[in-house]
Amino acid sequence: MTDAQHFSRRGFLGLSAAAVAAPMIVPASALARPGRRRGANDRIVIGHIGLGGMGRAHLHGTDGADIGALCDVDSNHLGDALSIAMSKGARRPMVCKDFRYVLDNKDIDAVIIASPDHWHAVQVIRACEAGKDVYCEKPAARTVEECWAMIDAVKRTRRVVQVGSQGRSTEAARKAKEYIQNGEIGRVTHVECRHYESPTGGQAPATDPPPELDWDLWLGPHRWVPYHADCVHFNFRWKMDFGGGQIKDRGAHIMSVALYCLNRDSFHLVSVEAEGDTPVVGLWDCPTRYKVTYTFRDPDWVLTWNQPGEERIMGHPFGARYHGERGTLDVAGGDGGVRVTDEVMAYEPPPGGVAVPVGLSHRQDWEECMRTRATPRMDIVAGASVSMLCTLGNLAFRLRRKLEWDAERRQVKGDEQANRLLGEPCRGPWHL
Amino acid sequence: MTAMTLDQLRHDIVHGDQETRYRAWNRTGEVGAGAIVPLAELVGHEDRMVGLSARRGIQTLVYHAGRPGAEAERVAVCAELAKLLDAHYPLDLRADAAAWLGALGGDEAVDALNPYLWHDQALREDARLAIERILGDKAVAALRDYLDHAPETYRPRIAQSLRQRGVRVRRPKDDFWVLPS
Repeated sequence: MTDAQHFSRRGFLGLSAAAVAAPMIVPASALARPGRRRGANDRIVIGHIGLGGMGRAHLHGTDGADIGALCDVDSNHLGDALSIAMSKGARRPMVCKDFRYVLDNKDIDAVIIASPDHWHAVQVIRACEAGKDVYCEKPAARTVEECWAMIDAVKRTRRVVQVGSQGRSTEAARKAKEYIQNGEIGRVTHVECRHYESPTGGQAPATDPPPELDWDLWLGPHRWVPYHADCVHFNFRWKMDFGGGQIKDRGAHIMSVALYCLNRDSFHLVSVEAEGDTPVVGLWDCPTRYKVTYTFRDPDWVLTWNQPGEERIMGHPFGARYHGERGTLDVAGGDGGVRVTDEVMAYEPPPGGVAVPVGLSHRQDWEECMRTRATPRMDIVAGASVSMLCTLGNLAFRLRRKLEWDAERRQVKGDEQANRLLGEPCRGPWHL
Repeated sequence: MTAMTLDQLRHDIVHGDQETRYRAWNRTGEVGAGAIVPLAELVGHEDRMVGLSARRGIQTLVYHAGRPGAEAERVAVCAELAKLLDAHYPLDLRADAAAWLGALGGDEAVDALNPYLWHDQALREDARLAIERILGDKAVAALRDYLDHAPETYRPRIAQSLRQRGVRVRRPKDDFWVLPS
């Protein structure tokens, strides 16, 4: 190995054919040191990592002058993203397929990570270590071990990390929280999440990857598997190894709203049980019909995930019904489109009651926290907590046995195999 | 319902009806370790969905054998999985077998995986990941032993596995920031 092969900022322009140019904007990092407050008018230069559907949506939400880097392992995605960036007035952003170039670029203040789930932990941890603040798409991680590693890294580096479960930043979620926290349905004993089934499919044979895709880099920390056209980009969601199905994709939204409304981002999990059906054919292996039951104590309550649920929530194909000792509350949706009844939307807390402050949008909340160094609404602890729940549900399903959770030791009681599967070794050179 | 036999499993897993195949691979736990090699032989079946059923059958068995209190079954399944590491099987199945051993194996699996770590470049990384995951001193000893003998470019990976296992390894540093040549 030569010195030239060592990755360095000095070397990246010479080594990377994909690197177009360094951004030509004055970054906030030049004005405020990492970890310090930034002024309201300071620019925050953002690197966009992962430019598929969600990544491009985030790009649309970024001021052109703030776009510092575009990164994706698929050159088609990069081309599309560059067009969007230029149409928004971006000035020569760095363009690359390897996120290490973005992290090594001192001109980048923050990154938005919208890569597939199996990349999140490695990229978030390394971004934090590189001094970047992070907005990471949900679910936060693919394994429980990754969740803890992310929490540790964020605490250690004191970065601002927002996880992209934006449902809790909606006005409807705020009103639902006020309604519940003021006891309008009594103590909540059961949150019943409902969602339609994960799809079936994945018939494509193993082939060589298309030339525009760097398959090795797409796999990243995941162990090597052959390329299947049906299992990349959006459809990775339906593979247990990469995504984890609806419970991870939308569960990360619906459960996030539930934990927010109940003030239970920290919880004492007791057990997880799951049962359901794997698709009969195709590579997609996430359960279609699916029920997961989580039992908690201090306080005692139950969270269930139901695919499909008994009926829609307020006509919406997914959401949750909150069962209290004195009534129920329906919260439809869970992602950006959360909805409650007009009565709940009009609800005003009683004098002396709990008033939940009106907040910024999810993205604005992150940007504001980067300036003030406050904790964002869906910080890594909240994001990881939800991700752990979803992951443990899938683990109980795969193992076909009830998991008794030891909250103190962060382990499954008396089940060595389950504990091994709380983590996933990373293919080199990637690691947590 | 009577327990599934190996003959019944062989019959049902290649059945033209997908529901029959589905029921079969979900019941491989009843057949036990003896099902693994016969299922492995079907992974490359001309009907890819038969091959997929066979692969899922093995995975179901791996999870079943890892349940608490099934030590004898676990050891028997590991012994059969070790056979799938052999080079005459397709590489993706061998890689799966290594991963399954990592999820289920003990010291006996370290013995099975170690030669591939040392001598099989195609399977080396899968063997490393599997050994990293196996509990006990033997897995750590295998990684330590290989650290000084691995090709120079691969040593950072072994060092990283050892760190993952809580061993302090100062050099070589990890190769996260090293670009592929």
